[in-house]
Amino acid sequence: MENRMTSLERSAWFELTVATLAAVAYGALFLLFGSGPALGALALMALTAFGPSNRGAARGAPRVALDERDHAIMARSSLVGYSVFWLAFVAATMGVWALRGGRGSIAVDTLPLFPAAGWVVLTIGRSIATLVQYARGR
Amino acid sequence: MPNDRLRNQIRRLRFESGEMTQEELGGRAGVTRQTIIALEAGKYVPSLVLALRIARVFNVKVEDVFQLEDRE
Repeated sequence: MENRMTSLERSAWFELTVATLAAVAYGALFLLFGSGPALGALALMALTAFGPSNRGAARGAPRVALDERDHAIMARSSLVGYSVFWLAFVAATMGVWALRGGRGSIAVDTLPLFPAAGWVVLTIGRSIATLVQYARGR
Repeated sequence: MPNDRLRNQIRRLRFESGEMTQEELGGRAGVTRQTIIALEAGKYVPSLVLALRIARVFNVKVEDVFQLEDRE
């Protein structure tokens, strides 16, 4: 039976792909050129602005694009995404503390990595949570 | 805590209403076809407003569409 995806599900696939590509590109550039230039790879996340739901809205979306179930899924996914983000943030800050010690230091240009990587983690966590909920609902 | 499950007659009512499609029911109730699929499969519990809208589409009472079923 044909089972088309909702616009939220298509967006989740798109954002998961973009965020994964950004993370892989960051890893590759980090190995080749170091942390500074690798940060540029995270600019790929800007592509999420061109996701299916935004394009649909621009063209004139179908009659019912998102309904109450989609909004409930979106709310739960956001909660999961932000929880994953928070855990990753705590792990990153505590990890630096554990590795460098209480008197250690890190370069200031490492700091932009925290919000950028946080965006990637949040997007991946939220997208996976969305896709899992849709998969369970079939 | 009660261990109830919400049963529904949406599929039967669709076929009794001239084999209404999920797409058509979704359009008339203001939800996507995927939500109708999830409802028919018992994987989604609708809001009261949606339950009333679906009952209105079939021109029946809400308890003719949705019933509580005790699992115990």
